[in-house]
Amino acid sequence: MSGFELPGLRSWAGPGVPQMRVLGQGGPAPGLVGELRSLPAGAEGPSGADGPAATSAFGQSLDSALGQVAALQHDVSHKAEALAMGEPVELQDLMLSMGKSEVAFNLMIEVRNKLVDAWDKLSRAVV
Amino acid sequence: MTEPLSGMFHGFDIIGSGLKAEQQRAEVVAANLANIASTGNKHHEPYRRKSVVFAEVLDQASSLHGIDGADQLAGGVRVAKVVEDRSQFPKFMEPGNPQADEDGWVWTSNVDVFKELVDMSAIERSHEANLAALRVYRGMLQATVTNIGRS
Repeated sequence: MSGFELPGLRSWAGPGVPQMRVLGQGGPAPGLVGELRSLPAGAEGPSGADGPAATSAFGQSLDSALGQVAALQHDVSHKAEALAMGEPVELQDLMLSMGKSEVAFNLMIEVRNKLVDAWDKLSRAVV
Repeated sequence: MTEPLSGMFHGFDIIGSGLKAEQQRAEVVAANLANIASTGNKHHEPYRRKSVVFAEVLDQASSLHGIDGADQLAGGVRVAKVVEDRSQFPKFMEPGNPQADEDGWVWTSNVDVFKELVDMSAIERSHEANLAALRVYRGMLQATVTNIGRS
């Protein structure tokens, strides 16, 4: 991967929650596409290390969501283990935790698929 | 900014409180049935039938927060207290019983097995209703999540 790297996700960062902009509404979107356009032809993209991409709000909320999924899974394994050890764990509590964890994990997978898909599309884009 | 994903699972917690409340109610019925043969006399009362009082749990964390009227919406249920049945104890004349008082009267617990039977059926159905709500709620979330991949 020399010469081309995806631009940082900083331009997606709205105040707080990342705002998805609908393309074609209210002029050119200043999002990822706008940044791609502004890149001079043949120029190297931001290397990532110097850009604020690593600390963008979008990256942060993604990181925090991943942490939440991991916490839910940890919660389930902790409760299942405690139940097996004979500690007083409520059965419905374990069941609900498993439900939460499963839905959250599936959501994470879908978001990951979307991100990979987006990256794939961008990497194949003819510049 | 709240934690991500926390709002999504609020329904799980409400259903969980319902399941827990029904479990506690079933425990009280079980205790009533277990103590049905308890005896006593006028000096020493036998077991009194217990029943539970439910109370709503008001929760501000609901996704309905901020909607007009939603602040009166219960975010779940809890067992507020366990109360005793103040009805009279059945009395039997049985002078040979070691629990009989000086006049020969024996009191037995005021647990009515038929009342408990009806309560038990109601608890079972309530529990099933909570589980059905859980199935639907989870199915809705899962269908939405799956739809993300298709759109």
